[in-house]
Amino acid sequence: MDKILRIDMGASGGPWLNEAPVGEYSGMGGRTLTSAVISREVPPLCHPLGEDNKLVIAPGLLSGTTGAMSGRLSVGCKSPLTGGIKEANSGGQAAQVLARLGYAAIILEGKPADDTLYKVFINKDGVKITPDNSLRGLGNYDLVDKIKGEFGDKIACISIGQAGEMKMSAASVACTDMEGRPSRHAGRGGVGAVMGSKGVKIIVLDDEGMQMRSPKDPDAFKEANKQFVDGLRKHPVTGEGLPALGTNVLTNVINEAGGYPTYNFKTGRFKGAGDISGETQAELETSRGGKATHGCHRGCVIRCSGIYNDKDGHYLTKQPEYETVWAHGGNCGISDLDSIAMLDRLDDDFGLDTIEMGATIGVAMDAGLAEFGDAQAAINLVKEVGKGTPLGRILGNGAAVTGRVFGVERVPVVKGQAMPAYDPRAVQGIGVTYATSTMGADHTAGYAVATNILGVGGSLDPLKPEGQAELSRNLQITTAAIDSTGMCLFIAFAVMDQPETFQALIDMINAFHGLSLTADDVTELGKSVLRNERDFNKRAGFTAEQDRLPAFFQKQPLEPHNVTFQVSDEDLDQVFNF
Amino acid sequence: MDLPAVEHRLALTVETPALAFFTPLLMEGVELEADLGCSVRALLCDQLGLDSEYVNERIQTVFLDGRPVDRLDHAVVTDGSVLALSAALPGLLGATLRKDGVYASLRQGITHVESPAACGKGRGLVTIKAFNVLLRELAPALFQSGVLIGWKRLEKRIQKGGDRLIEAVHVAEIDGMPVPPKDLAALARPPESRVLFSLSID
Repeated sequence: MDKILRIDMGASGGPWLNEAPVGEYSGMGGRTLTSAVISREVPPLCHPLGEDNKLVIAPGLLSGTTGAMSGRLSVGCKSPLTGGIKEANSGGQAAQVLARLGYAAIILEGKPADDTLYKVFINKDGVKITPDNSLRGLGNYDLVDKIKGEFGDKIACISIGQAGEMKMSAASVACTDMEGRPSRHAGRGGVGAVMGSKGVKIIVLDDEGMQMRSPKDPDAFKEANKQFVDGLRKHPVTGEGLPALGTNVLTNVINEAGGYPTYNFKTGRFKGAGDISGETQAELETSRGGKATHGCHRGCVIRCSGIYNDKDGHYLTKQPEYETVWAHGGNCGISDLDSIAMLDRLDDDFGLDTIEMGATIGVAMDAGLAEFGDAQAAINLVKEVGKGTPLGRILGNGAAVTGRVFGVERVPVVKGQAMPAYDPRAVQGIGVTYATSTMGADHTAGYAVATNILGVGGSLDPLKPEGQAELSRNLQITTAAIDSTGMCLFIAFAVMDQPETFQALIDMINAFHGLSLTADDVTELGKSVLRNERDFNKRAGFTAEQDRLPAFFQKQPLEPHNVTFQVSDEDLDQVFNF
Repeated sequence: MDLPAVEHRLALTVETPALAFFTPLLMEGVELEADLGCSVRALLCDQLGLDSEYVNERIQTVFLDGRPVDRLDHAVVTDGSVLALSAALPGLLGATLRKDGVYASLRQGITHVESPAACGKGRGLVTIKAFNVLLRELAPALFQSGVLIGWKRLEKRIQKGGDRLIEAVHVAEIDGMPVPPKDLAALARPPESRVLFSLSID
């Protein structure tokens, strides 16, 4: 990972390739790298779909190694959805393969002169970029099948579906999983639209002949990795709950807490929650010959994913995540898992963010385009997006656009990005993160990570009403640091509860790179990422006014607890005072 | 305090795999007769017989009437209470909802308000729910001691179990009278009637 590949799609005479040492970006990975490049190289006031924006694709610091859980791929740009900086990340095989090919990043630049579509092929011998308009209009599944016919099935792919080609703000970037299916997505913020604006339909990665990346201190790395894996396996969340039931284990519990946004954030409980819960989903998957426990990339030891088969036992999609089941399920009043799985499949195929699309359909239902609970109507609406009809293009540009077009007041977005599956009126602390995150409403921006161990959380008394702003700040700092390692964020639980597992993670990074990082250094890394991102957003025109939740959260009480969002603007403005 | 009458009693002796057909009932909630005024800890340990270490370590998230509980000794069970139990959960929300967790203050607006416990306020009905990995762990003890449930819900589970359930049932008794397992799905009782349902593992 000592080089960066830049492809200028706007060069005269066609795309121009340039490989260069990482230079000023040395020592960076994942979100640190994507946000540094965007912050330094992209004019903040540029049009997100114009020639001055860049799409940065970066594996993490430990991707491509034998380190467990190290397969996250970061994708960064100026977001067409929020107008601010964006980092979305994805599981799948792409990060591991790209790292083993030696690339710290691929950066797509410029704007093609016409609408020709390109495919990029990278292997040990180099990079080829060729026009291929036969790929136009293909969904991710057909696209990857076609590409496998050309390059074989031992490849990893990074691609866009129709939504990305149409430059929709809800468009995702797909990564193939262990089975070569395009089921893993850098979903948020319209990163797929930026890839589409560069005219790149697919990046094909083949690491045949390449080796695992070698640590500076192999013995220390091996030992640290072992400790790390042991820590993950012994923790009840990473070693038991997530493998057994996936992230959808949350449905019943969030619903019980009254924080499960239902009918487009009208109430906090959904009567049909049990029917779409992780417990029910796992039983159904197993009964149909699918899998309730499955990894999204090699080296995953948590295996929170699964395989969802249809009624006939044929593969339909990967196990829909909690956020997907909520967005297309309870948020839209839909309690049929097969319909939700179909919506997940359509989103993956068209290349759409499932959270954005579920929230958008909820807004559309509030606008009267369909009845809450009408699963077939929801499926039809998503198909409109894939076809690119006028209605589909409105929906494909997200909840905020849809709300404006159809005159809906209750639109659950921050900085134009749809809110995930936790109502901030019930759990106010997460509302602080939704409001202030550099990314727009994002449940992964301030994760439950080891603020205490890192020393940034102080010694918290859980029953003392701590400042929500202070907690959110510390969570956002530590999350930004983990996003830079290429590690799956789900390691957070074991890292949070077990100091020795957190130390093992730092030991892995140190042993691999020959460093001597301390917990303070990790904290500083997280702060530097957030400073870069805040600075970009400020230069893009963001002010404190964008760090707010929509007004209905302060005005409309949420049942069953009848709570509103109470955190003051003054407190929200304290989050980024470091 | 008068408790609603139990109209029917269904007792099954089954092989262990048959438990899985009935665990969804716990996810939705079943009623138990319980001493009122006691703490949640007293209900779990003294009345349901759960091991104290299990309650402390395994049951990481507890809701009383939909509100997350931090200290089990300071949450009081009253008539009609709904008690929901979960193991450790992922996500910031999962960490936030944990009892006594480091992020508990993030959900202070919905946290259960504590009050002093004092057993001896009579008997009443409490709804118990169990989620995720606790479903199978708590099912044997809860079903063995008997749970109250409407016939319609129970009948639905029996019918959904089909032949696989029938094969796993060794003994069945309705209102003290033996009934062939194959006839379970055809038992006709008023849908809203209350049944004391118990399961024993053979």
